[in-house]
Amino acid sequence: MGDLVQILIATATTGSTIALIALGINIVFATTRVVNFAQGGIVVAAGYIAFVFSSPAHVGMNVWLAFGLTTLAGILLGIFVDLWGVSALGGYDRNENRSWLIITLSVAALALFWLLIPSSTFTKILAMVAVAGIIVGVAYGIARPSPLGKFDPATNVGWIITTFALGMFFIPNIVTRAISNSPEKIPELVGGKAITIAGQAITPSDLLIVGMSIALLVAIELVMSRTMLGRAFHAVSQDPTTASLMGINTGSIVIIAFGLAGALGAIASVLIAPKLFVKLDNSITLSIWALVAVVLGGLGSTKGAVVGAYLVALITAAVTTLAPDGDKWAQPVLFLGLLVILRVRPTGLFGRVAVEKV
Amino acid sequence: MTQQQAPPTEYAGAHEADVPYGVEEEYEVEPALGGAHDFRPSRQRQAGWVAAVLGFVFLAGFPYFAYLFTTAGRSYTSLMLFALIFAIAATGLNIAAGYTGMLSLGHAAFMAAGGFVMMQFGNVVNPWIAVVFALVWGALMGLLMAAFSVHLKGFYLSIVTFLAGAVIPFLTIQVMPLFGGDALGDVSEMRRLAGVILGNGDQPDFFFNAGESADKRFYFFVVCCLFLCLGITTALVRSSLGRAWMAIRDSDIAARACGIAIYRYRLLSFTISATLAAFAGVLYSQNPNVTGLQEGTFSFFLSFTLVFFVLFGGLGTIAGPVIGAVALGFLAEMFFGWNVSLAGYEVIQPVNQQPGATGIILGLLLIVNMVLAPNGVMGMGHDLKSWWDRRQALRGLPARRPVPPSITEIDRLPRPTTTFEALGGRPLLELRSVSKDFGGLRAVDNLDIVIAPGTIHSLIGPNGSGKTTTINLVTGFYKPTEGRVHFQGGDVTEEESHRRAHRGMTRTFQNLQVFRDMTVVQNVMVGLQPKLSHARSFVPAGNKAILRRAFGLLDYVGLSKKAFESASSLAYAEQRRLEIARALAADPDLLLLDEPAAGMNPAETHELTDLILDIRAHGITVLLIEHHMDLVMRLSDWITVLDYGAKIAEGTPEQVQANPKVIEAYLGAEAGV
Repeated sequence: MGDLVQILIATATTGSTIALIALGINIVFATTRVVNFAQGGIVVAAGYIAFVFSSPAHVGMNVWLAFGLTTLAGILLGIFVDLWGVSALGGYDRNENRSWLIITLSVAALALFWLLIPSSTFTKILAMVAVAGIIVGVAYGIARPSPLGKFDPATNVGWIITTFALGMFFIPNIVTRAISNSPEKIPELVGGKAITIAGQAITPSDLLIVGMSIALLVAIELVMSRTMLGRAFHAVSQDPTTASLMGINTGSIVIIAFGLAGALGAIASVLIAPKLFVKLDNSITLSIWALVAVVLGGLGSTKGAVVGAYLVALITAAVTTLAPDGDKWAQPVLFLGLLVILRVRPTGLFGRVAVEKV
Repeated sequence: MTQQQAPPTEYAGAHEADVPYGVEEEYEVEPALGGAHDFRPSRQRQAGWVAAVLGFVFLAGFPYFAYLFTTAGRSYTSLMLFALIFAIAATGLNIAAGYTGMLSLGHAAFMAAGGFVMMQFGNVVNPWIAVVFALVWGALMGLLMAAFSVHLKGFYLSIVTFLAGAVIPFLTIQVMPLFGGDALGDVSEMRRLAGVILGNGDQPDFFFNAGESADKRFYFFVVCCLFLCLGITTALVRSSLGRAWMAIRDSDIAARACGIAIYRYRLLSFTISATLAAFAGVLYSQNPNVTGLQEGTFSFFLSFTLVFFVLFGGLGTIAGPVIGAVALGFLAEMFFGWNVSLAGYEVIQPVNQQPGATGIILGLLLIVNMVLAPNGVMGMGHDLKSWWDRRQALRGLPARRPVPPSITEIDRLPRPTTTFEALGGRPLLELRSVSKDFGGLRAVDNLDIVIAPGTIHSLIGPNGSGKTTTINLVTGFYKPTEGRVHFQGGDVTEEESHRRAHRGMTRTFQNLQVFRDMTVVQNVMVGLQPKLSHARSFVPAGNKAILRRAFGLLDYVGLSKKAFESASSLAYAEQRRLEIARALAADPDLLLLDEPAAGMNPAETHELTDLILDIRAHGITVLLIEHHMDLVMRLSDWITVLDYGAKIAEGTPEQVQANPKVIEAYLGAEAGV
């Protein structure tokens, strides 16, 4: 009984968090056909930003205010990932002038050179060589006779690299350098006494995670199904070109999608912080769980992402709790199950099956 | 009927045969990146050898440079050693990702498979036998992963490889204890491969101190292994096998139409790719600087790192993965102390006093790479070269061009495999009450078609009347809901499309399906696939023969001047003719042309008319779908008219033109009255 309750609590709390992150990945996928590997990086960065805002050692503001500001930061991070990682690879309907990108990249390279300048002369020279490599790339980008045309995520796999590089290298290491390298704690959003069921404590934070996630999921689903904005999202996810011909600003919709995804990641990060702490490993763990959830449910399907998230949480919690040596077996069991499902249904549980056109 | 031919004009290719090749006017050659290995100007080919020799000298001499010019020679050598081992794995990944278009995000798993098995058996049996075990296990794991993924496309394939990439090392570790021992244990007591082949003695020489000679021996061993792997890869991708892989990468539909069993080829590609990665894993475990293997060493981070290496250097190029591995793997470590510790190679833990610096710069480098130079270093070199060529051309200097092969008339002309006599009066193709449903929609309804050998049989009808669906039913891309398809008297209803290409029916596509990143002549060489054995294509002479035939066919359709250009650089009408040449390459008995004149201007349509007539004159039966009615009426011996999937009329052009039902279908009811 205790085991069962423990599994259920873990499923509800972790599942809700994964659902928020997975929904972020899913919204981005629906509009751009890009699977955002940077989502985990955003989650981690947001956690540390919330830590800076709320920790008495740093800013020390009210935790709810910190929560709000972190969400804002999540939106900005999401948009940043779009600008450098996805829209940079080619146009949806935006013009092809990419000078803003080249300028930001050059400025970043130079700024980093001064920020990171190593101590010894030898390493200084070597660092210069590396930065020179980046500048050569930028110069090549300017000189390249024909910039990339329309971005097609199916054939141009650059997005796998850029989102991964942003989410696993760039963002977490900026955080490491600017804030902290070690696990940190954020004050809980709600205090109060835990309820005990069958020897397992359910804290108010647990209830908040579940309640808030479900409220957000419902709100987003309502926006998507009832408003003009939602209709614009559906149009872009069906066919960006036609959508822009119908007067929808595809670029803005893509930016909104990334911003929304960033916000969801930030909210999830703050909500789960009392359980998992804020640490760099989360970028890997959470993004893998969310990715598995989205693929299991079916890329592009909201229902799939949510169901997938709770299934992933359930399987992980069940294997970890019930099996001997459970930590070790949870991931292989989960992955193996997903492999078998994908062998039978390549588009996941709720994904649409496309007919191949010849 | 068709004797009312057009005046005997020359078709595009005819006059070119009179002129010796390579003497005519200049034309700019832009070989395709990542596919143009086959036939290049001789100077360029020499340049390839020169680059290989220089690369070998650089890599083999690296320890000496390191010991001469720095005080930390041993560290640099050991870093380069890791980089070279990863270069082998990246070369393996490149076969699947670059040449076959299957971007695997789980290749580190095969390194794990190879490494763990080597650790398990290295001390028990002769190390060379252990290597064989490791490679066999790696290949098996590759087959396993491929079995889950080859039927998928794009990111779905990548995600499955990602998942399997986490499961395979785990599986290997679970299986190994069945053989006794522990794959993750300490390896300091292990008999090392380098010791076995190169002797265990420790002789200090001019550069190496005592105790370092094992390092050195192993380093040279790895350099040789790397170049062996590069040689194998080069031989593979230049053979017809490699061309088939590239064809599948560029268009799997067209590859099937060319007689390529795509799943089998993808399975093979994945298995070879996995075996190379497993070999890299074996070398990793044998590295004297590695004291033990951990499961975490081969995590998905390493898989992604391998992808970075390949993309940084240039996807689908031979040198790309090596450049990427050396540049990123070695330089990043050396400059930023990614992890200079000799014990192992961990990807993201910076250990120097600048926390995060490596990750930030590396992330920035990768973004700059993908955003601004998506074809990697090799792509930049390629752009630089074409810029230089253009400059030379502007100065009036002759461009370097590939030397076309000398061809004879036999190489040029279409030749059906089966003679009409062999058919014994039976029809070549017969559809017997064939129907095809898509969900609730009946696209083809109870259709009977009989095609007599040696005729041009046209299929016309309004848009959406089921013409292309019929071609797809004939060529096996769709299976009919009801009815049978008979070809040359045999029932082929259940046969796969690639088998039908071998039987002698080939096709072109309404939506062009040329292999975009291959050269024009390579496109046709893929079409020759059903006519040759792979073994022959590994021999230079055999490959030359294939080239001659392909070049001859290009000459026949009038494209020989563009033979060495990238197929994607061709104009629309030229791509259509290229598809015809590719379809002719299999020596078909039945050629199915799906709107070959779409997008052509009147002059090009006229040339096409002559070409089709000439193809029939050589004994090839043609099934034609076309909307240009003048072309259809002039060419056809027999016309079948479809409307809403059903046959509404058939007959000679005159009969069909006079048929009121046809007029009604095209122009509406009133016009027919």
